[in-house]
Amino acid sequence: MNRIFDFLLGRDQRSATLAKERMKLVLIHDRTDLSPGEMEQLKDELIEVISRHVAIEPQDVRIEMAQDGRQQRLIADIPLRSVHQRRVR
Amino acid sequence: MIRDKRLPELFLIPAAQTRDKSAVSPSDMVRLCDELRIDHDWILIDSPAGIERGFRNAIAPADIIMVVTNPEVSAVRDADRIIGLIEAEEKGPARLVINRIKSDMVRRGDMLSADDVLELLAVELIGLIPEDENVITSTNRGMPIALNGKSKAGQAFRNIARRLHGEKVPFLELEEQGGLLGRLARIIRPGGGG
Repeated sequence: MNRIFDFLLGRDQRSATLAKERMKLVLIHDRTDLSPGEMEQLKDELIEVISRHVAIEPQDVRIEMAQDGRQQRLIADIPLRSVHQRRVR
Repeated sequence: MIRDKRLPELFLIPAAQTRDKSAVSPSDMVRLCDELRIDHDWILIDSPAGIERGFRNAIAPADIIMVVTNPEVSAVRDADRIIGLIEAEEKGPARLVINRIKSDMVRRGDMLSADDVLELLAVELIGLIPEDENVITSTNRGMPIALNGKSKAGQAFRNIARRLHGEKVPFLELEEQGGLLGRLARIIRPGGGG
């Protein structure tokens, strides 16, 4: 109900929701000790190593930190270049 | 040791306020507690805030560690660091007490709920303490809140003690039912709280 009123009155998002979103980001960084700069460097190096073995789409590589209970997980999504494109080259 | 006026089996050992905290080492604490274990069922060690020597002293002899936090951003962040350190010292898993929950603010969406905090910290819950003015009046009188039978916070603290003892105690229903309708609902469905 409150949310409907907030929406109708054009009020801001509830502060607890904001707090939770902010906390999620902060805790991920607190727990991993990896600065955004270091993450970028890690990403570049990963792309370099993987490219040596298989053709990938470097601009679409995504690396992020995810939370699984108290465990942090580094998730890398690395799209391979399609076989068709590889043949054309 | 100082014997409590009300409870004949409760004793207090105050920490020196004048001496440097480094006067006591973690191994001193283990030795002290090993002696106390012989004659006492439970030893509660109150850790100072922060992650300095006092914290290391407090956790050194501990079998169970309870982390107390408020549902506030900065407090939850500190709690997360402490929980991480407890894990690193292989003293985990820590058990969480969430203190000073304001149910009206939670209901308005302006305070992190117990579920929010648990999701963020991902540890086991052992206590939910509602904000309660009785805590202040009790300390004014020098009376432990846990001995106040009418206080909700007192009830919550007694429930923690029972859970530590291995009892399964449901968590207090913190949603204070305000207004006439809420009170009616309570009369119709009494004993909702734990």
